[in-house]
Amino acid sequence: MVDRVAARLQSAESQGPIDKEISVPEPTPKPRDEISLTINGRLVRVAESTTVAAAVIGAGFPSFRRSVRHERRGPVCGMGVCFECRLTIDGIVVPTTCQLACREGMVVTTDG
Amino acid sequence: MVDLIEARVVVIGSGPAGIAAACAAAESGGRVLLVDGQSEPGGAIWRGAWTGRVPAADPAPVWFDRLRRAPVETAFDTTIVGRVGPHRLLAAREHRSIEIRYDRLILATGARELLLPFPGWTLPGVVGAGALQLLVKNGLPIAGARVAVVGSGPLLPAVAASLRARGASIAVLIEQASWRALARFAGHLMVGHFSKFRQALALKRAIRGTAYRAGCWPRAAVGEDRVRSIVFTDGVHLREEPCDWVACGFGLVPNLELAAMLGCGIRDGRLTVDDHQESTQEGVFGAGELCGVGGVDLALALGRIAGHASVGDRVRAERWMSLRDKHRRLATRLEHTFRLRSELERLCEPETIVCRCEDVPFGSLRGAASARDAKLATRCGMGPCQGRICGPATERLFGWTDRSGRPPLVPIRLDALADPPDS
Repeated sequence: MVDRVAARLQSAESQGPIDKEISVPEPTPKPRDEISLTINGRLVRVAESTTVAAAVIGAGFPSFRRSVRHERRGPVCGMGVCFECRLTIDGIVVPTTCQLACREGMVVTTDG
Repeated sequence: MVDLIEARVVVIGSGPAGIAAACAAAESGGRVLLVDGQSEPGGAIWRGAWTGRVPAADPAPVWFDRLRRAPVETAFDTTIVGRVGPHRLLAAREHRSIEIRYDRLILATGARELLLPFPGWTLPGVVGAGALQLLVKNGLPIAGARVAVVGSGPLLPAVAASLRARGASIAVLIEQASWRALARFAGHLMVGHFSKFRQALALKRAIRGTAYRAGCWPRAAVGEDRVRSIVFTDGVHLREEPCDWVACGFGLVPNLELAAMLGCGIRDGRLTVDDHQESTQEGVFGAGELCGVGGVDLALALGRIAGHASVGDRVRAERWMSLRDKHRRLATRLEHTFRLRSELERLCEPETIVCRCEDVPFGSLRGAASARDAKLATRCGMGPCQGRICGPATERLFGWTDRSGRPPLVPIRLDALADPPDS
């Protein structure tokens, strides 16, 4: 029986009706205001409530800082635990930019 | 001038367990304050659903509704950094410090992802699996990107499905548990937890067409300035798959720092609690992943028990115990199914970084006898994350445990500390 279930899972197919009742949430984009900020000298527009870390990667800068040995590093935990996403915002080092929403006119620079 | 807030019951953490605990304590007549470092309730699992920028998965809407109607005060963007005396915590909110006074305390600090070091895991683009999901929920565009989802546990297909729904393509899903273990687990779900079985099938359907490799594990992430591919193995063959992101997670580890600081008993990597969720410190309760990783349903049951019990309402608390036991049995099954194979402890090369904050390589740690020894010799675990990432890894790699829970629990700004409460 174990093998049958394995084969079933492996075949990646299941009955039809089930996914009508249970479905993985689809994104339902809500209209949101846009915010402008400067990332490494470039003017970037993002949807409201976008975090700084998400905006910086989205702008094409996956490397946020240099490590002790000068290696490139980017965000890791996404929840304010690892501190790999620290960046300079308006001249001040912010330790967890994955927890900070973008604000109009922010000036963000990476060190990576 | 320091802000002071107080309540009979203070709940730390507003994920499912914290929300359930706060609502239950309020229902039993307590004056409740719910505190969280985030700007909204929901924890990592329901991130973004409170404000509606991410669709809310069941049963989040029900609980959000309960929380809105319950007489519960909230303090968001508020992070606990230390304690200033018995029943008094120190918290920080941006540049200010806040003293929080409580009679009863419920810890619902949740869990973080277990990240295990392997060659290349420090490259930009290698992130936690849940982390990538959070980044995307928080505005990161992922459409068109190729993502390798790597590690172990039920979070992986959930992450793959949600990324795919947003336009990512899943290059490969690499699960270290064997097909046989997964099949046995599916059989168990089918018999004992049919709704979960249906969820699993729906998930399987949502990632249909994805290369799902069970019994495989990563060997290296490859790239120069950022990750370009993942190399993985089944123990015999090596395969390489190009990708733009490697989303990896090997399970969850409870956030025990605050509990450790308060002197609560901790065993086997979880908070020690009695049948009513009270820790070894009188008046300090625990709920959710802190007491052993078990998912949303278990967290909600534990939260209810802790909430009612915290104000002495044992009758209501006990109503949830059979549900708790049911979900706990499933959690034990999960733990067994996704037990990490020993090969994962042998992935590091001597030069592979283990402590990311201080760039400490695996090779320099091998001679150390303990976490403390390693700290003194190499600074492993002494960077900004205070060992939150490398600690669980070195626990697995070397068997070290380090639960100092020393304040400040998180790096805070000096100006927030400059005017602390009277101590």
